[in-house]
Amino acid sequence: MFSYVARRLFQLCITLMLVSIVVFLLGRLSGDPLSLILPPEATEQDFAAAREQLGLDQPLWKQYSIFAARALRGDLGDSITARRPVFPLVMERLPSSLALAGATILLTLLFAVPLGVISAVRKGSYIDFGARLVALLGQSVPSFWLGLILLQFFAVQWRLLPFGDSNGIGYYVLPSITLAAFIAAGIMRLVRSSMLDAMDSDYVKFARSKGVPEWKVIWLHALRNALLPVMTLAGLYLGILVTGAVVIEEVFIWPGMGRLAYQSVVTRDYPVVQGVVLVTAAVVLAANFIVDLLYGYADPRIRAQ
Amino acid sequence: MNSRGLVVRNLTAHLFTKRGCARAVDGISFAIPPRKTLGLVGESGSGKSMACMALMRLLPKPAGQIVDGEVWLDGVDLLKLSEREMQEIRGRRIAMILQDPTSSLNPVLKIGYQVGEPVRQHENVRGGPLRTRVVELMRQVQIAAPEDRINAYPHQLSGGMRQRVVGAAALACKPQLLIADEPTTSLDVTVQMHYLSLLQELQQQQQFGMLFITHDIHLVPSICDAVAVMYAGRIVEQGEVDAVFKRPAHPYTRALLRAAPRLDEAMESLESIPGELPSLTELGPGCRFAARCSKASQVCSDAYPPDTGLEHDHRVNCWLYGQPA
Ligand SMILES: Nc1ncnc2c1ncn2[C@@H]1O[C@H](COP(=O)(O)OP(=O)(O)OP(=O)(O)O)[C@@H](O)[C@H]1O
Ligand SMILES: [Mg+2]
Repeated sequence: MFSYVARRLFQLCITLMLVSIVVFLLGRLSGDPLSLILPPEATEQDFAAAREQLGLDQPLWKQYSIFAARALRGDLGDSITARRPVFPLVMERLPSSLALAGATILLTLLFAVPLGVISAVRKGSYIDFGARLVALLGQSVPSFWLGLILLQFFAVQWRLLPFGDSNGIGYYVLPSITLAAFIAAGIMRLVRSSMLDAMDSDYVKFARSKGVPEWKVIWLHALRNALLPVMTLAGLYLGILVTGAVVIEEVFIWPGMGRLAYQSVVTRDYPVVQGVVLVTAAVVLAANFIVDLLYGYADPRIRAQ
Repeated sequence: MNSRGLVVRNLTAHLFTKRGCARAVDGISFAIPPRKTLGLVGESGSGKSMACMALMRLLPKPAGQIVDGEVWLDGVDLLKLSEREMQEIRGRRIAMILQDPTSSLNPVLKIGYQVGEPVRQHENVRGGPLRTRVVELMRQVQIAAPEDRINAYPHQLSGGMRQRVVGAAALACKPQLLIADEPTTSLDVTVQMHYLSLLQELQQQQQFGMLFITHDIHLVPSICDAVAVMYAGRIVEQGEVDAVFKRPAHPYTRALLRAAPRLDEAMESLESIPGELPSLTELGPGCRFAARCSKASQVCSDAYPPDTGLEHDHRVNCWLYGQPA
């Protein structure tokens, strides 16, 4: 188990480093940063001086090592539009983004797993049919459209739910449903199909032949196995959660990192974009690491390796 | 129906599939007195596993359905019990070892839990006493260091060990009947022999009756008291081992006995009977073996042969012995 954790941790560090290199290079490739910083009437001398001052005359690898060392200290440069350090700007948006992600995951688990199980156990029933239809819709409707529709009816027309902030449970309902729709649908379908496999297995037959009651056969014997592939998919969906959040936060005026990312792309505030990408990557990698740990816990065959 | 042990009468279980209704178990009758072993033999696909599943009332849902028959265990018809009552029977009165014991263990649950599950379920034993019981059960099936192994997972055990663990779980509540569905098919020969002798030893100690299923008829004399030969959903001949082996009556039984006695390649050995099993969805009125039988005459494909008694309890369904009506 220890070596499994160590290996995953090592992978996490390497990936984070690669992400930071990409972020750094994108920052350099997207044009001379000086043209954004210096006024249009700046002379050649001004450019040269600024270049030396910012270390832009150094070789690329040296520039990166300076960038990385600063980033590790939490120094991601200054925002061009807000004229503030990027790191605190990003970090103060992190909690509400995390909270929204958490609500979405909770919603997904609460609905997708039980529904997938019931759908599999009652294969061919109306519940199964209904659940699969909803899942199909959830996966085919674009989430920004779903978000706009929900917003229009529940928040604007019927005024049942608030939006435009994040302080209060009511604010979470619409954006988390919107974000969860696609993810929960995918998870539900996978739970269903892997439950069908598990229910057909020999260990389920044997458990029944021992006199184990059916609810225990389903929720312990079969589900424990059926959740293994689901956990892998859930890890992959973390990325979708992040990209989905960019649009959804903008739709619901949610004060999170997604909205910050969107706005800084629009205003070409590259330091902020870099900061958001780096912090997001770190969070997603950490979340993936947790999923890996859970997977190792759930599957003894992995743990042993 | 007051006799002790298991009495099966006209058990009929069909599989309703897209391709039609497969008559996988088509009116079979047999009895297993207490402590006796009945061997059920027949080539692959003849419905042996389906017969076991029907006995346990665990046919695949929703395709498999019992459409007729009686299954008496000590004077109680299991087919008339509620699902809840049947669950009390499974694992406590009748236990089962599946055809592929290596996949019968749940890969994510500890061995100890899986062995103790019937005890936990039927006798409501938990904690320390359950642990002691599990260790004892595992020692009984000759698992070394059972105190450590209870915390192991199936993948950490060898195939032979896993199978003995399955045996321990099946026998945990001292059932009176064990259904062993080809318990050794997936193992290599030396491990097979070891397992079979262990099974017999346990039967000596615990005195359970056994339905021993195999497609290798040559395993039968060393293990069984009686034998039933199954072909395409029906039992075509049954009787005491001595009688059937000394004077096999049905041409199918004779062909099985003529086939080379090879443990590991029993499947191949059946090639000595030309032709193959008829489709269970398209069975005619006559004897199901007629198409492959060298002694077949017109009557064989026209009508099903009657159940004919030879000496003692030796019975056969074949027109060579019964008179056309
Ligand atoms: N889940 C299922 N659904 C539909 N048909 C099935 C199913 N399982 C088995 N069958 C069919 O039922 C028939 C009897 O199969 P069964 O498994 O009882 O044979 P068997 O005698 O146990 O053979 P083997 O020696 O290979 O185990 C076969 O024709 C098989 O194709
Ligand atoms: Mg079988």
